[in-house]
Amino acid sequence: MELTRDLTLGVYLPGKTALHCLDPRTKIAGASGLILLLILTNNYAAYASFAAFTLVLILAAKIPLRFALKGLRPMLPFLAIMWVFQFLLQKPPGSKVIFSYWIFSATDAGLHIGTLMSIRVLLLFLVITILTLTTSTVELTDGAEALLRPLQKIGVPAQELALTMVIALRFVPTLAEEAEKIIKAQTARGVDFNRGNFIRRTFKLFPVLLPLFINAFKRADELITAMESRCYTGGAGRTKMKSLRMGKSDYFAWGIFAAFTVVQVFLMLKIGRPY
Amino acid sequence: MPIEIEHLNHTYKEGTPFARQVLFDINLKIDDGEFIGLIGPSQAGKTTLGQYLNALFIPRSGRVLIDGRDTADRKTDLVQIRFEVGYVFQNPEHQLFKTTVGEDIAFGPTRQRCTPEEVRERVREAMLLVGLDEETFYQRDIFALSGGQKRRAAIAGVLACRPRVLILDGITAGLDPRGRKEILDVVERLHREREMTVIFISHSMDDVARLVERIVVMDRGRIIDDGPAREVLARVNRLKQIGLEPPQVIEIMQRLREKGFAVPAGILNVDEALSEIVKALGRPGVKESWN
Repeated sequence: MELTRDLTLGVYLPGKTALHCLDPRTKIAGASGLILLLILTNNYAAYASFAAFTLVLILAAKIPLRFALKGLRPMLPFLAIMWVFQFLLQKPPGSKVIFSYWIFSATDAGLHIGTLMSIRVLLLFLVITILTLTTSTVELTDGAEALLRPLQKIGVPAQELALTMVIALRFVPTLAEEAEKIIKAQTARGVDFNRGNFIRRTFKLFPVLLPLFINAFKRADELITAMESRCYTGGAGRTKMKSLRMGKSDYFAWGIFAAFTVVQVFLMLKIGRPY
Repeated sequence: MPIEIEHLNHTYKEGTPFARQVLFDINLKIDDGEFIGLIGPSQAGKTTLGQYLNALFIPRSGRVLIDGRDTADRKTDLVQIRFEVGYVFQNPEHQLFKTTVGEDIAFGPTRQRCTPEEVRERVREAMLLVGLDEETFYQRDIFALSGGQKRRAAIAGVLACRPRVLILDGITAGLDPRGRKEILDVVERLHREREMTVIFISHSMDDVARLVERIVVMDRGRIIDDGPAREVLARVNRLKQIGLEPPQVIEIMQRLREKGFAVPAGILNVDEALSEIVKALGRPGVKESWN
């Protein structure tokens, strides 16, 4: 029983590939740009081209493909449920009804919407995974902070936001490890998490979630004390040991991103949505 | 209920870029009623090995037989095995989740589908065994307990399942001397009075020396020594090599011998050491007990 084995989100895979060495600002902005493209994408061809691009990124970063795909597995049940809901409840005007019963009506458009949305979520997850696998936590904070800094003028607490984001990412593996220990402690007292129907399994989560939440609050409290004891007072006046610098490879990456955007927008406009 | 382990290997995060082998060809046989200390420095693989003993890990390489039942066999009832081999984890906060002590201890027996009367009876018995007074603690809020009391409540929660083998993983870590002594007394009583097989995982040699009959020493995923406690502890230098502090008693007796005092080797507890030192000094009348 190992929860952390299949965990890919929030894990950093050290390496020296071109993707690892890019400026974190480029990577964060690039990932955000890709996510924006994903949200706008409306047809299968554009998604196929996006998936191909993601695959190239994974190979370029020397991330074992199986490892990257394994991280998607825990999401499949949720996607399946979402897909069923989209299929049965979406009923845009002008769509063809396949069958209907009570408040449910299955339409061809619902089928497409559900499928496109599932692909979108999977690719979104992959993009974020690539970002965190190739960027260390320190780089992520620095990058996010630098990108948010212009917004400070209108009162956005850039440094605090960046810190919050990084702490959240940093604690994903820690919490998973802890959940694993708790699951084991409860398994040792006779809870079989792999048995029983959906409702029974849901109830079995209580002995896991309660200690997990309590410990998470405790951990947060300890973290605050640790930060305050090292005189953390917020972002004002802090300096960096490593300052960020854009290089040739960053401009090259921007070029690739721009070209890819043109291709995607072309595919979206040319083909259009399938329903 | 003998436990047999044959050629067991374990790799964490198998099939990922982070794969790391932590157990190498482990062979171990544990007989009924043994009191074993499983010791070794951090990262030696003690906890991983312990989790194979009650089927929390299922072997992918090698075999684990519990009372003749192979844990990798699909027909084996793993839940039943986990009730028979109780496992108490280091951090009681990973186990305790109900509001009151009584409710939490009752969780295991309730899962075993005991009748309410039976559950009540088992909770009473378990609380008695770990020395938590029922009157005072049954309704007590879990969060109002001290560190030592939480540990005892966690042990009681496992004992209420009526295991025949008990694995205690680092249960004295982080306790003050008094809490430590209270816990160790409980463990000793369980072994003596209930004739339970106890596997005590620890890196504190002082705890182990006081209690156990047999010691298994692990280092970097391998068993490097296994035998009667006295013999293993006598190989002090070997233990020092892998970074374990030998028990203070042994250290003191060894130094006394080096200084030319006539004290015997192989002394494991403070009382014995005291009487030997008194004998060596030739001064009768010194208070012959210490606690």
